[in-house]
Amino acid sequence: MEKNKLNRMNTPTKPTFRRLVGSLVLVVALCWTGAHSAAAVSSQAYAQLRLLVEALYEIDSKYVTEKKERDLIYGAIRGMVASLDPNSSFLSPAEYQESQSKGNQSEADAGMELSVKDNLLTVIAPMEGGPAWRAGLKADDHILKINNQSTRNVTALEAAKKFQGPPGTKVKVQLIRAGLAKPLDLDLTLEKNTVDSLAYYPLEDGYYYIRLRNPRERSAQELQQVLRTIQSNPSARKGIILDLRNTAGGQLEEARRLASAFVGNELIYSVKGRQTENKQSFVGLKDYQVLKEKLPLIILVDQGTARAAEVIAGALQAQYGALLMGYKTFGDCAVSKVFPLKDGSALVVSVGYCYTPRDTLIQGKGLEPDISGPKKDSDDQPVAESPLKMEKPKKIPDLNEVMQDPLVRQALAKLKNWGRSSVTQAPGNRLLKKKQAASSHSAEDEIS
Amino acid sequence: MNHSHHLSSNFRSLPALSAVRNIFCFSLMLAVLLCAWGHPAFSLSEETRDQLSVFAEALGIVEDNHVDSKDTKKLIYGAIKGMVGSLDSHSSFMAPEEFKELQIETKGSFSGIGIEITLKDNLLIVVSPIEGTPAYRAGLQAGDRIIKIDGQNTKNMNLLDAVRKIRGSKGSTVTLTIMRENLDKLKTFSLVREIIPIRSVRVRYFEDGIGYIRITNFQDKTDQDLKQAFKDLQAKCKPLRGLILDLRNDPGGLLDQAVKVSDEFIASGLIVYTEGRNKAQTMRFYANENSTSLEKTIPLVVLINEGSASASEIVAGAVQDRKRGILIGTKSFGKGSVQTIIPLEDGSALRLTTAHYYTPSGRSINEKGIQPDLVVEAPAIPEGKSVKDLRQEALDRRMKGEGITDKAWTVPISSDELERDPQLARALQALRQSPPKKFSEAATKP
Repeated sequence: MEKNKLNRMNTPTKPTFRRLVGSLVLVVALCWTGAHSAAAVSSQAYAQLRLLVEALYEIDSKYVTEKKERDLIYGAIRGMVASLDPNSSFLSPAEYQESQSKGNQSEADAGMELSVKDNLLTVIAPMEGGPAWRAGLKADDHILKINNQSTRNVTALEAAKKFQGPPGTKVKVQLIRAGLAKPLDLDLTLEKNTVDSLAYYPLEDGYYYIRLRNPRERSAQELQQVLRTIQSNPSARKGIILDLRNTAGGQLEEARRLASAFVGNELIYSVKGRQTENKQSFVGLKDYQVLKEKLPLIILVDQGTARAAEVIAGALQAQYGALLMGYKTFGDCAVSKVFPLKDGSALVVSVGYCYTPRDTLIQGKGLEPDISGPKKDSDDQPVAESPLKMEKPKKIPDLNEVMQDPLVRQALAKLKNWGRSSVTQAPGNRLLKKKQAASSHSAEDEIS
Repeated sequence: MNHSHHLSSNFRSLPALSAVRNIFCFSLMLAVLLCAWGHPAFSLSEETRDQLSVFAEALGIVEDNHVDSKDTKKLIYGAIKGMVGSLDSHSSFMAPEEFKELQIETKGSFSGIGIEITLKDNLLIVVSPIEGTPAYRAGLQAGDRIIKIDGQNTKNMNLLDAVRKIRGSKGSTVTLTIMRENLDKLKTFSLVREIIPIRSVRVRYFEDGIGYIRITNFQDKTDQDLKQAFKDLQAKCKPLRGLILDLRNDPGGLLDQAVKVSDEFIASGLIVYTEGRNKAQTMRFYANENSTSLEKTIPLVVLINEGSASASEIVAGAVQDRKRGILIGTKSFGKGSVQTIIPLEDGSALRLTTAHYYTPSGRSINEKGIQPDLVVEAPAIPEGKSVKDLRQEALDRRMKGEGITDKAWTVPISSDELERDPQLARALQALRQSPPKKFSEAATKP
């Protein structure tokens, strides 16, 4: 939902924009006046524009119904932008105006982050406790229809808008999920985001579990509070589990503050693009640092860990010696700028990608865990005809359920052996798998 | 350009009309080329110019600022895709490679060695060598694992890449390195490529003289293959008492082939008509009334399902509207539009919806589909089977051309095969118990 906020780093860049208009209009002018001027655009671009004109002409003259040229050109710009990366998008004049007047605030949303994967609109992760999560959406679900409208050729940003509106708005989604033979229809209700940004449980003596669900403005203070509590316990500070699974929301600035609580003014992440103006390093904030010592830290990650959470994971891995445990992360962290076009529409273009302090590119690749979680075999599970009937009402896992979670148990085992075995599977892994089978009724894994 | 114009229309119409269209198309190309060379004779409207300048502006911004350096050609391809994609779900853009692939599919033959391959657990496997082809003669077998193609390891190769590497120009050689179950070392085959026909018609029969013909798609040679299949059936079954035409999971193909196949069965009158914005796209197609062949009168059942689309629906619609036979199965896909293939100057092409078609009674199939006279559902998904298994099975069926036709046509359809296919069983029952005149009654009493 907050892609727009997350990715937009700067305000529109006027000078570039004006220079381009000047040089590019020439190319089009060439086509109708026959003037051969030394246009600033390569001859290759010129030849390619010719192809677009040809296609436009064919549609104009032969398509079964008459189409507005403006719609065709907007379709073309959408298609071009969609071919770039999942975070670039096109805004029609109305959409652009709306985005400016509303700023970054949306009244209510579905509490989930979207991307486009293999040309399909894909849920990166629903926020635990949010409307989408309670309705039964899961990470990696592919959304086929929103309110009975196909999501074909819809960018993630456009789709995100369909999940914003006044609180109480109902939205119907149809999705496909690995392991299901048929598409699934779900209803969800938009809400103001009131999900607690984090949960904190002391586990056994000296071990702590912190779950980050909803990174937002207050999160860093809340995390500082938790870390102070841990720090104030003088006798037993043995290790922390930071759970970033299914955490895809939040802005990069928030990631920076959150990571600062552990590492202070170390490098958190950097952004690189082709234009030098888009290269920037982001260092943590000294004032935010709470932990002065390096406690054993395991960060739980999975396919639903994205953006701000990926930045945190990458930073703490490099600067705090944290181990990442679980599954490869989603791989989505880009910075974009908005470029207005002369007819009032606008482009959102990804101008830079995030890199961890180890200079690892996150976008499109994801971060590999240092320690893998138990093998998931959702693709081999038997087909369930109506999977949702078997599901209990969704509630946020309590301490008891957290303790049943196989990955949390694996992390705890690793913390107890911290420093003894290197990067291999934690001992007692076989036992864990048995436990996992026995506890298949936990809230998270109901559908199978 | 001229070479590709024989394909300028995927759903081709009557030859004369198609020639007219080709000329039309050519003159348009010329107009565009003139424009492209900066000739003032062709001018874009002011509105178009304004719109294009917005696009050019967007292109420039992307080229200058996007985090990855992108090839302009790819950007323009993306743009054309987006423009065509905004029209309807059947209009699309084909890059040159995709266009070539389509031409091969519709031509009904390709140059290769004659194996059907699939990807199983990331291994490239021979599904079956096609009889009479270089692969068959050299002794390639079903189940052979292809380890290398021309010395290149097939690990991480996707199916389409592998197919492309195995295909090549006629007379050239391809080397396959094969691993086989009871061989203790790799075996290498050098094969000279030939023109391999793609069969779109498969035929089987039942021992009591009822024929079964399956059409997998409608391509250039489908009508000829159908005629041959019918001849074969008449030679085998004396007398031939009835026919099951299986159009399940047949996604369609060429319009003129849909008309020709319908014409095999319909004795007289309208088969289908099309209407478009462009006058050249408004056409009516009638059956040839001079033929008195057995196909025009033999008791007929047509099998359809949600995978029967476009050309299949034209045939099914004509049979239903003209009360030529009964339709059994489930509701068809519902694609009532005609696409024309328009080649662009760089070897890419547009597949553009240019007309809608209507059955003889004036029904549009679009989104509604054709309701069978007798609804018989396919067996439900067996319990305990994973989606992966189902996908694999579907793929296997596809590689074999589907249905019950993976055995030689001279082998009659067994009761075992029938048991697995309740739609086919119901079709057989209808043909066995009813004289042709009573078909419509049979249809009302399930």
